[in-house]
Amino acid sequence: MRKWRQIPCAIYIAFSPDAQSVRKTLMTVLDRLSHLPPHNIDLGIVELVLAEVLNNIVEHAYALNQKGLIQVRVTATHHVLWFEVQDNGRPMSNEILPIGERPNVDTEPAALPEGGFGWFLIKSLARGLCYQRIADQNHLRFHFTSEAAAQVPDRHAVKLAN
Amino acid sequence: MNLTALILGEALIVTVNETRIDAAVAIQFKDILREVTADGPSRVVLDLKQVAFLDSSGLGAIVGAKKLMGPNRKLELAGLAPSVQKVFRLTHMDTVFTIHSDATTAVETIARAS
Repeated sequence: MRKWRQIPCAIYIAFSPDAQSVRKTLMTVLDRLSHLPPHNIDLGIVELVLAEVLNNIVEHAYALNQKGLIQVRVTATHHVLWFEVQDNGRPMSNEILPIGERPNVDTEPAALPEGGFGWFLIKSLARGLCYQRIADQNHLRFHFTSEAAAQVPDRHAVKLAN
Repeated sequence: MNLTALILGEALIVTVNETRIDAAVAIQFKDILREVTADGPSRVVLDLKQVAFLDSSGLGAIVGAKKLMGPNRKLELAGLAPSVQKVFRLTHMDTVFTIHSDATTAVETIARAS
């Protein structure tokens, strides 16, 4: 068991890998997070990143085959929101995170990209992204830090690594 | 997925009467948008003021709708919430679309231009 200095909020949700369940989960998580004590974390960013992570699992790890489970754990400590997302779908290609470059939009209109933005957004907005394939499961961890906490070394990050 | 379309001056205003354009509705959204913009004025303003959440699937649907409209018609955007605007800015799609603060401004701008 990890020891947390303070846990004002902890969320655990398990759901089936389909777009409607993702939507419901996002709304539940965001509703719970909106009741946290004041912090400087942009919950719009949190919702976007979590949406992209979960959509990727539905579309790629499970390849739109709606059997399986996605588990989301959220822990709020002082100034930090920790996310752990787990699924038992297919592994990431080569078991590493995609590069997530921004698709080129400086192109003629007919060639504009309609996809490929997901990992770019996740990598641009989340901190401490960590992917592991353990016992046929994908584990993804990331967190968001309030602006005040960004100034000081992140002692919680050290804890998580232990 | 609920959209309303009306012709105002030189433009077709399409209002999205939904709070989310996400992976759950992106394909349906793109299909309906294609249907309502199939004919009418060459300038279309998509009013997103009720939309509080847009993910990359929703963004892709809007880009797809723009492409389907072809080179002779123009899809412009209006009423972006800060969270929606952020998605456009981060992906640089704000350089691809003309973005108006609201639909009324969009119509006035279009009227002045023509």
